[in-house]
Amino acid sequence: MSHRRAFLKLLGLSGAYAAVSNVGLSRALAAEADQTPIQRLILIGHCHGWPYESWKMRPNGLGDDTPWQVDLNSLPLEAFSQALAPLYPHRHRMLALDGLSLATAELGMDGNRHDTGWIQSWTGNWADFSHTESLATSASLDQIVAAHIARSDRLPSLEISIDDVRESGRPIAYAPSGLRLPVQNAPDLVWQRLFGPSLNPNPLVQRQRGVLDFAQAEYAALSPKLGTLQRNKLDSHFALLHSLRDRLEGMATLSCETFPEPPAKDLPTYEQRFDAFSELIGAAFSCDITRVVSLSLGEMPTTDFGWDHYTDDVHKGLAHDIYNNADKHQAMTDYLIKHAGQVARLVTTLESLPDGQGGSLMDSTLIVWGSELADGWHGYRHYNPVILGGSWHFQTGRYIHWPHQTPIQMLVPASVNPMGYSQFSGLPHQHLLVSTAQAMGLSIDQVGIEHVQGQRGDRVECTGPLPDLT
Amino acid sequence: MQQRRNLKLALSLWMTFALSPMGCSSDANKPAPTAHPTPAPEAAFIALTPTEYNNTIRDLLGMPNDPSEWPDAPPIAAQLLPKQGEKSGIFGIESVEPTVWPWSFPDEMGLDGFEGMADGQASSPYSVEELQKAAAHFASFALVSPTFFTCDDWPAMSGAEQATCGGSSVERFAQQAWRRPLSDDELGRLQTFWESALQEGTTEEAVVLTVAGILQAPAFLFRIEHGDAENMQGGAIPLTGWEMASRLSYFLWDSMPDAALFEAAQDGELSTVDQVKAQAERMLDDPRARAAVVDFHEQWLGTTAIQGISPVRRVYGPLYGLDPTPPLDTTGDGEWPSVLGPVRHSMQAETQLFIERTVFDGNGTLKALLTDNHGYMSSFTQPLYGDKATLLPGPTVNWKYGLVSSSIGGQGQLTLYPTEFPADQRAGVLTLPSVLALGAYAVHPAPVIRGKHILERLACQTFGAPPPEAEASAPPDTEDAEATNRQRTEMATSSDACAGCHNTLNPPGFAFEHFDAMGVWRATDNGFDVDASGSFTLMHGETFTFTDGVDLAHQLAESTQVRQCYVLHWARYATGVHLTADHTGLSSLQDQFQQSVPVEKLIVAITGSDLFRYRHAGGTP
Repeated sequence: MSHRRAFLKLLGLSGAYAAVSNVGLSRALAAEADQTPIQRLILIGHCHGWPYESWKMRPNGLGDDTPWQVDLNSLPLEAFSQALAPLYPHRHRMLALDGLSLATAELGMDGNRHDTGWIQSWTGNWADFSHTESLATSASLDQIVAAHIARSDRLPSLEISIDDVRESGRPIAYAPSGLRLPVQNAPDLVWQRLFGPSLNPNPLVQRQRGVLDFAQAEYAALSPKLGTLQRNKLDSHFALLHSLRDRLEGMATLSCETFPEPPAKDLPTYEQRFDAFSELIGAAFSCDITRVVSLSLGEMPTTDFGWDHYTDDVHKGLAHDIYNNADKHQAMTDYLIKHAGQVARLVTTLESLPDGQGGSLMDSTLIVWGSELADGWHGYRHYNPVILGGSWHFQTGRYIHWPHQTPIQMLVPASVNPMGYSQFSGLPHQHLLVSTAQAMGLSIDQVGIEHVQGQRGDRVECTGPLPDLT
Repeated sequence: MQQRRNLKLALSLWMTFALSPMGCSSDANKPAPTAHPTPAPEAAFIALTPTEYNNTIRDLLGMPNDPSEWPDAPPIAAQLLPKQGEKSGIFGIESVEPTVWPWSFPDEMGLDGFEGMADGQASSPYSVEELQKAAAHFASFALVSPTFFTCDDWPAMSGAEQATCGGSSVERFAQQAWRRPLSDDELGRLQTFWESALQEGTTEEAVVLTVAGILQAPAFLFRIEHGDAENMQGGAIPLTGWEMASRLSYFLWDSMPDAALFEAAQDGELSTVDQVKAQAERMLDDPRARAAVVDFHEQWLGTTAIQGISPVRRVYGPLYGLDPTPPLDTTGDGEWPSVLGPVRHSMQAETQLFIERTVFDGNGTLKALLTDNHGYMSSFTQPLYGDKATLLPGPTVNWKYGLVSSSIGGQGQLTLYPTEFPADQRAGVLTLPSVLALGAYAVHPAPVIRGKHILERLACQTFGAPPPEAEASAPPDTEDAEATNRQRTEMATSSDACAGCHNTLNPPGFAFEHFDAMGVWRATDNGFDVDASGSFTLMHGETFTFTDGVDLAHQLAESTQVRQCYVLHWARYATGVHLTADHTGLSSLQDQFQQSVPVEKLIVAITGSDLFRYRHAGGTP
């Protein structure tokens, strides 16, 4: 029995597609939940973007030059995106966004396009390549949201990645200082982190809160004696220590009625680790241990999507050549289909878990699935994120197309334009970050860059949400 | 034995010093006047790195370096940090045994390629959680530490006696952990917490909870430097003796000061250049300095990432008698990992041994690090070096390592043999298999990565971003590729847009085309003779024209820019601050570090420099 199914069974549910039921964790949640409906956020980032031709939908001959949208619920599978096909059962929760670009990344080319893309995609801001390591220049979206919605007595956010030996997942989460946050890639250790503090409370564990009080008093005494730089660094640690004290208390009083089994150590396959993490995310949300997760999908081995006969190198062996090799385009389509299947399983898992408010966890979760690049050719032009959930804010179940009319020139392959650049980009992706933040209850109009100048001097605003989503 | 005597002396000093206020520095602590001190730029405090934290814990508790020799944790440990999984015992899950030592913390992001850089560290919820758990874990070991208690046979004492001894022990422990005397206020808060803990539970519980608190205080986790502001000179504040003791110990040992350093700090004997340098010279004779110096070089070379290399079986398996394709087994290939795991560890061991033996037991110069053809190999790397490697008489080294692969988890041990490698094939660190394998893809070497690594890490010469299409132009890493690896790379980087940088980037990488992706020397590539010759010019004007990597390594060993870059790396590492190459405090060190000067002399010179002995006054409130 898979771990996921084991968890579901423990919840009293019959399987992966079990109907939502007010059993098991729902009682725990009812006892814990405050009056404000809980909302949760998952950011997912994968490597190498999207092969646009197999991602896009053009039902009824709709074209590229005008804005339009279609109702996904009425769309037959044949007209649905080939690359996103595994998400077809969840299309009523979907917003497929066709018309964005990582436009500002094209203007911030001080470093490697992968590094630039990873940082810009989730911070919306410039990357800093003035050091050996790439830094962000502001916090990533998940951290911005976590600062707003996290419980002070629980984990503010969870940063996980699924890694293969060849290429690990890159960081999604960046602190306000621009440094990346540590990421966990072992499901068994994540299980320990989530459920370890909720062990049988014993007096000595309880008394460790007094230990933290002592440490905090030392910080408080030291802080006034410090200069600004020093104080900032210590204050950051102090604040985390303060929240850790609350968390120790909160995690010790966790009232989950049951827990998932700990995943096996060193799960050998990518798929197994993904499913283990899916279950852990579901469990963490169920018990309200955290409300924000960033999940970085490192490069999948070619064996996982059936192209190991061709190469074992996704990056250089396939992704680079999607525009000049039909086989490799198909391979990267299959790569994306595999990821779409994984995301679909995550949605299913969240749908199968009650949220204690009469619905499923998925009803109160917003998933934003993006990537580091628009495509494996290192382009930033057709950036095609998918939103799943968030129907309390978004009108889901739609495919929305905006024509590329933003005056930022984007690198394109010669097969698209011999000049090497398109005249226009899609909407800057910062609008998506703002939309997401607003969906999560933040009253902000800007995430990252405020505005840029295109190559011809046009001012391009990056503030405000995407149009038409709500 | 000498160390133990020093420790006893220091302990007696601590006992008499316990109630002294922090600002008790005597005139002897005042530094000698310096004409124009040039400290490093202002930076935030430095937190203990994961390595420094663990080493400090080991030395604080007086525990051995081998975790298998640590005493068992006392029973109270299970209450303080319950084993994972106990609550979910409803499922009958076995508990996860934590590692006794070292504790596993999240990696630091680092800066300029090094840990311990002030601006490359950030606390996170995860890191703070781990610090809390580590403190709880190690606190219980105070009860079984050979150095913790100020009295003998604490377990046999009466409750009242235990409380008295426990109180003095935690005070002394705090002073050692915080690496300086406590102020009256600090002592007051500590005593209050101790007494409160005593009232709420047993003396054992009070000891471990108080120790856990001490280990989470900022004075333990951060290297906090106020300096002796009264003696500020033109924006430079000399460090106090206590702060200097910590600077020295974390620079040279990756750990806390020893008894002799504490004694020198107490006596005001860390205030002059000569005093500091004398301590540095003493410390370099300690085995802990060897580990720290090796650690610097591994970070400099990037070989800390060696466990991540993944050469493919279908190309390199035959080197080890394996078929290129694994046997049909749905559980995966267990054979290649069982080779690759020990190979990676052997590469790491050989790198560390080469650095240590060259710096401390050999010629000792940067030139030797870049050119010496003596080192170590094991049975796992012998296939990489080939038949021309000659075993030398001399003691072998037994090297223990842990394997984490799911298929072959467990412990292993390598025997490393002193070896002379052919001088026409190997020269110093640049021809170590670890360095070569890290500059490679799974099948072929990566000349651009190798060249960039040499220019950035050895010559401190950085490059802008490649043009947008550059990465997509990289040749595929497949074994059926046409022509030679060099020719494919040249073709991919020959356009006008690329050539500007690649005319410099490629040649130092091509120089090592005699080495494949695992560092095996080869005369031919894809059936063609290897061409490893080339020429390039560094930004300061030095031109290198070479026949191969060995020739280039010898030329780099003579380079002024390489030597100055090496000093810059050391200075950054020593201060934890991002120094720019034109910082005025560097020139004197760079002038002193001529070809024949041993690395140890450079290290000592750095400790006597203004960069090391002063802090910037910028952030003083």
